[in-house]
Amino acid sequence: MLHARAVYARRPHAEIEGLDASRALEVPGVIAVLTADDVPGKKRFGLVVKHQPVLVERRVRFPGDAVALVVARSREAADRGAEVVQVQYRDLPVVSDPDEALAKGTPLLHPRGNLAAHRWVRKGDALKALGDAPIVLERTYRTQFVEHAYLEPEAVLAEPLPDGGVRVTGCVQNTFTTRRHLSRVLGLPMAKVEVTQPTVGGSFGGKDQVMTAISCRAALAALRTGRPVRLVNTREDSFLESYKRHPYRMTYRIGCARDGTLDAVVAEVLAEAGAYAALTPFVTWRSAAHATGPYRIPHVDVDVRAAYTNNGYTSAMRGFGTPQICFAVECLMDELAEELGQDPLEFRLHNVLRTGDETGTGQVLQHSVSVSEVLQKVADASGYVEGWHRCRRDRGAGTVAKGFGIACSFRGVSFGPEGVDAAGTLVSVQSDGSVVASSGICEMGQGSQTSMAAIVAEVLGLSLDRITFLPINTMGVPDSGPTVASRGTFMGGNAARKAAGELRDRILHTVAAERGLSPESLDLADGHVVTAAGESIMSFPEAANLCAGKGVSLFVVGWYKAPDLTWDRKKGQGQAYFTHVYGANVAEVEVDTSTGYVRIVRFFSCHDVGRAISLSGVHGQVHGGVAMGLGYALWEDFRYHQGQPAQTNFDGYTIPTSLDVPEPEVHVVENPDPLGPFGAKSVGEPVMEVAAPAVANAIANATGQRFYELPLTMEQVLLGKPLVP
Amino acid sequence: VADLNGLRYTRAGTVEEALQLLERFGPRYMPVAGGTDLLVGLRRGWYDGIEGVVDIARVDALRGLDAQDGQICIGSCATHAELAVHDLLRAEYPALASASAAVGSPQIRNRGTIGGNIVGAAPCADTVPALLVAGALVEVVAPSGTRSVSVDQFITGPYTAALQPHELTRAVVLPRLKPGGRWGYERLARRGALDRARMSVVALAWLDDDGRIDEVRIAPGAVLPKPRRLSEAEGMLRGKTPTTALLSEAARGSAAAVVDEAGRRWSAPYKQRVLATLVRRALEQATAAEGLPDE
Repeated sequence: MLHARAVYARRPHAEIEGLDASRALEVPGVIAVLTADDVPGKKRFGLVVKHQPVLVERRVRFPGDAVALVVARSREAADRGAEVVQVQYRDLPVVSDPDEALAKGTPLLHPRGNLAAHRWVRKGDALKALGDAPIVLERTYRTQFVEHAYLEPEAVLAEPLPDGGVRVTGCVQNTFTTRRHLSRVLGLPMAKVEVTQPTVGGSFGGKDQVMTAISCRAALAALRTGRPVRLVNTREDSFLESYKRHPYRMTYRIGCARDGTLDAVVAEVLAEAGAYAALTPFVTWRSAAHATGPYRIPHVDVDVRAAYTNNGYTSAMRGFGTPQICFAVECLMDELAEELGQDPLEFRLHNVLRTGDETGTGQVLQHSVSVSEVLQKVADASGYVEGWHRCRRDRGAGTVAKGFGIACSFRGVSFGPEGVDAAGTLVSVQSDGSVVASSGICEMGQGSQTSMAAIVAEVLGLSLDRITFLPINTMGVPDSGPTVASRGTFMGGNAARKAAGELRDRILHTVAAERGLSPESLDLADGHVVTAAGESIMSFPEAANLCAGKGVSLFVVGWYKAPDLTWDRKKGQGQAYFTHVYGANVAEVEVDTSTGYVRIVRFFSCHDVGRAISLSGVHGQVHGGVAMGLGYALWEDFRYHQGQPAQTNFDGYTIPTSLDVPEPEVHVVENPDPLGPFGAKSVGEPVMEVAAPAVANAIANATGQRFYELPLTMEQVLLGKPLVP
Repeated sequence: VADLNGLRYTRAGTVEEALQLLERFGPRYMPVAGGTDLLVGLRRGWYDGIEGVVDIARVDALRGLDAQDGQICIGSCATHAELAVHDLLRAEYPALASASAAVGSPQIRNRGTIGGNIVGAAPCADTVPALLVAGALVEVVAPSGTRSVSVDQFITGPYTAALQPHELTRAVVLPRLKPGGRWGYERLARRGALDRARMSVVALAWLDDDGRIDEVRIAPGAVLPKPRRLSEAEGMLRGKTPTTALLSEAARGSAAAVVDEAGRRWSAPYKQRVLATLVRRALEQATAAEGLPDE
């Protein structure tokens, strides 16, 4: 096996004028140094805009761009080789600010300009309504770059196959996306490109484009050398090269009547895309669709723009464009309530969406809209109302100020109208009654396989231990799109339910025919085929064996396609999502008013998941989402100085430890969704998106001061404004 | 000779052997104990030119803690984890035990040593303020003999210590303190573990029979390029009865002086305010004036 190491440009913006690999090739153990010239197919990739280089041909756009790949017999030799590849650059002016990027005269990072995306939502006449509103607030909020901080850095093994194809095994979140790009870059048919997942050490949306880049480089090296190639990023490489969460600047103008009824919102949002488009066009669309929060607002004018800069690049991360928006909207709701002399819960309950209401995008919500239910439940569980009033009264006494903060959201499940939304799950019953399942939905620690297996077990009347779930392999399961957008349980689970339902029908028909009974009189339960009275006809293994003996296939592909949605791009209106989930958090904090240190005392999280297929899985998602959300609120801050990342490893990038995150109190609400498998919807992202505003509102409750920029550092809390190097 | 991330690695069995090895190999070798700074620094390229290390962590004479005649001699290779739970330290030098317990994480405390903490001389080194207040002496051995030097003379600046390549820190000696002293310790970090101190303060005070401050020692951590005690505040407090107003005044004055001395950088507005708070809180603990309201 060979080892590969990328040679990074380590400069934000430059043209390559020459590259000399001769010294690297002299390093003992170095086999090859590959450049863009060695790429046989398309030299660039990208889900929306295909402009990100596998290896830079000429133009460097951020320091993590790779200009060459050193392939060697050992990791150490590859590292030494990478250090001595000589590259001549001509540095170009660095664009490091999104406002500057969109200004006239700024150098263009891409031929079509520095505007990476512009998405909008328009409804009614927001400007006029704002002018008429008796109470109007204008506020600007800012959020930061965030690193995914997955436990396992990017890692792949690429193996050349005897038929000229290649197999890539790695911590790839979206195996089909990566396969599609591998096929283009290597000039191979998709059928000769196999992508499989070992156990993945975390992703959170982060193992997408960057893993495609890594996979393409390793596969290129494997095909060029004819040998297996391992490419594992160090943490420093990972920080340098991997994409981050988008920083946003959000200016909201919001108007309401004197009784607190919301009337109009105008939002101007500027996101930083960094060097490449990646998923920015989709991230910003989700931001626009959620920009009004879970509230009834008749007049809406939302613009979300994204600008290219030389600061890294940004793309998917748990929440996908909503944690930023939720921070702004939910802080704004507290400020409006304050302005009106209402408590924040009362104000929200007066304005939240209810079943039959219309969202900002003009979509009428027909399902059970439970935002008031989750708000009330989390408020009751945490003693929010009493606590909020008490802390407000006690403000200013003592050096430890206490506070309660609340925040809620609605969240569209799955992609929305801009992607084909379908997924497949395979289920086969063996002749001994044991079951093998596999799916095009990936497992990266979120528990999708457990949920899908539970659905199969439920339909077939089996215990969970009878189901074996296979790791994903693009050769053996249908392309089910990326496992993102909290769609795994919903899409893969619906497909699993269909497959298991078909198997159930085949088994019951076969047994009924054998015994001269009607299939409608039979059922599968507790590992048996049973009558309506619950009497066992035969065991499940006997039934499976009977089917095998009769030549009845018990191998089924379940395929689920989500309902079609419509979106009028020009009008900025439409059916954004086929269903939504609702969640609310309460944070209880203590603030040391002499140092600005914030301690999260307790955290309460309530989510309507439709139906909890795996209750421990739901709890796990909430625990992880709270930890990540608190990191976003108080600590995490990835910075670039003129395009160069300021942090190189976890000593400089502060994520919370187990001592900083209290165990959250989880409350699950179940309003089954008519479309979901057994009514299930999703929970992966909503917890995270409303953690930071709950904390910000709690700090405001404690101190009487509002803060407008994440993270809420000790410096900002003490001094009232961020203090940065 | 083994390999440690590309460095040659030799383990010494005795102090004499370690000194001989260091003399033989010269300045391209350095001693290593816990390695918690070294291994990180190697990755960052901080030790270019270093070819090998002499491991002293298993030299018995450098380990453990020895109390005689009221004086405590801590071997330079005593780990933070050992010091954090040591009964005698917790009773007599509680701020040193607390500071040791605050270092990094359990893994780092199990490997990292007090010798490494002072030789590394990071401005945020957790044990240094407590050692300054205790009046600790660093015992340095060389083939030519032994010398003792105070901690503030030993640390000459950020990440630099008065130690020659052929020398070893043998021990840190805590002199016997007069009875009746009370300690105060404050440490501020961004998170609950695995974090450098943003600022820390150690105070130690003796009150006379009338409740006046007979003697007080104060040392801040993580704020000065070269550590020192806050002698201006100490002098101002001596002979006075501790009140919130007095302690606050002393704290504010010394915080301003420290921030001036460190250079007024971007973080100065925060540092000055918070250092004053931490100094006052540490003094309140040390003078038993706790529970008074903050200003």
